[in-house]
Amino acid sequence: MVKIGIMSFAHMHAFSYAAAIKRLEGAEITAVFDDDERRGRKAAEELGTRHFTNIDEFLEADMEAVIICSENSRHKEMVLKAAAAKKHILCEKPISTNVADAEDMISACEAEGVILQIAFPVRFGQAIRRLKEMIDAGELGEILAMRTTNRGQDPGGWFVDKSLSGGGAVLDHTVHMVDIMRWYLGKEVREVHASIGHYFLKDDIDDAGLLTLEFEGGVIASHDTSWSRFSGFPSWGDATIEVIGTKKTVSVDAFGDQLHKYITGAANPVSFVYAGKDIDYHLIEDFVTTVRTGSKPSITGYDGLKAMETALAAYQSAETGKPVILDHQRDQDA
Amino acid sequence: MKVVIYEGQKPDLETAKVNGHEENTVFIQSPVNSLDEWGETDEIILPSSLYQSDFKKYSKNLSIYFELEHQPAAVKLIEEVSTLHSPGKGVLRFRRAANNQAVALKAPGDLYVLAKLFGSIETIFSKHVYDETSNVGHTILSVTFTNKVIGHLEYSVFSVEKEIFEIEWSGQGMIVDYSTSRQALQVITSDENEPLLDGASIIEGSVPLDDQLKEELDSILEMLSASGKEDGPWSK
Repeated sequence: MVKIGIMSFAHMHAFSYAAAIKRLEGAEITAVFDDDERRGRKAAEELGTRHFTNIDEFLEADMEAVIICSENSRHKEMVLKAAAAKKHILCEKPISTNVADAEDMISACEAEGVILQIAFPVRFGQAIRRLKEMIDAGELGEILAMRTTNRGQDPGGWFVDKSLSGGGAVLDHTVHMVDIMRWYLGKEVREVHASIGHYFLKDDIDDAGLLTLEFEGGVIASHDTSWSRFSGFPSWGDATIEVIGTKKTVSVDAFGDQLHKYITGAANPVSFVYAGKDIDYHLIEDFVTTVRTGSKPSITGYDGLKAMETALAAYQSAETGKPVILDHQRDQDA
Repeated sequence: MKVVIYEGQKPDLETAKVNGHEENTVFIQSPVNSLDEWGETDEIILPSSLYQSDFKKYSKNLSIYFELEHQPAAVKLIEEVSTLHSPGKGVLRFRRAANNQAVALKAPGDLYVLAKLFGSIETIFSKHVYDETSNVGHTILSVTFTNKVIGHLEYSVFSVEKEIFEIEWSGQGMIVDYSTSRQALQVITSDENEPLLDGASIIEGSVPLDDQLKEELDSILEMLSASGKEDGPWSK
């Protein structure tokens, strides 16, 4: 039995990750840490487990692993504490709010010999994985370009407070699809150009961005990221990728396979109902397997760092109006 | 006589007939080797995509049409964006795909029409790839317009029989999109091309190629040529 603690319910994904653990055989939630007393107590009661407001006491509880779902700005603090307590870690994305923190987190986990996995659930979409198989089998030929989107609704709360989130929609959503593109290509982003705007929310934070990327080897890509899907939109949003290869062009929407549902008299009479598999469940299943077997995580801290680095470069490009060149030689030299 | 040149999307000739244009109009598919048979008084109506490469060899009586202004769904989308909501502040996504490189030559005309809706073009940043062996390529234009609009216009070349056209506007309080995958007429058993452009609209709505239009199109072409380190399809 893999015993897992959940650190913070600030991020809404904590609830679906907890539900996934409850469904999984061979895993259980043994404790909850949340220094938001009311939120943590409520979550622990619903999960039938203990609640701690003191992080050190929580980490002394009987568990091998933790899942961190705090505000982005607190990821580093929690990862360093959990690593020092020899707990394996699944950390919500983005890994942190700056590269230096991410590097410290990765180093600490390596030094303590614990797993650091980043939560990129889109990787566990059935169609996303099938496309990866097609690419690896050479069915698409040489990849020349990719087109991606990740548009959702206003998450509100701390997400729109830059001091806690580190950035708006560009940071929140870019990391998912950059991770998928890196995974498909096995190459790093070399150049980032971005236009970023504030169009949809009342809060003063970026809520839309268009990124134009070039990877090592010359593959080009577009990425549309936003919190443009308003309340009442028929679905939460999308996470799409189109891969243009010399033999085939294939597109995937990780949240495709939707039913179009129409209900008379409802507040939202039209809704698109996702009929695919629960990607959060498969993410947690993968993490639990990694902890149980002690294998290398499928999505490493380094993967999290490189995806975040692209998003941060997008902000820099939008600020200067010029493309940003990323230096990966630095990583190899380190 | 009006001579309408078209490429890629074939104008719907039926609408031209209905509006009584069949008597004095002919439609000719590009490439056109010679227009010698047409006299000085004949009006030659060219798609904007041919402006750069070929316009000089046609007669003096030239008019230009922009496909976006004659594709019913695009016209309706532009109308929705311009009349129901402020066309400022938002995100534009635009995409064309076809089986030849000429599809990207539609970019200057697309930008000309979109700039009328979203304000002048402020900046263009582009990326372009093309593999000659497979005839597969992709062009990305990242554009900012003065009305605080950011846009991605993308042009793909790959093996597809029917030209793909997609447009999406995400603005304050309104998202509107269209794709040819939702076109009214779909041939289920094949992927063959079907009329998307309104022939009568082209005849009635083309614009004389005067000095001002030349200047505006040349300005867009210059911005495109300077927009990236790779040579794009519009590069001279």
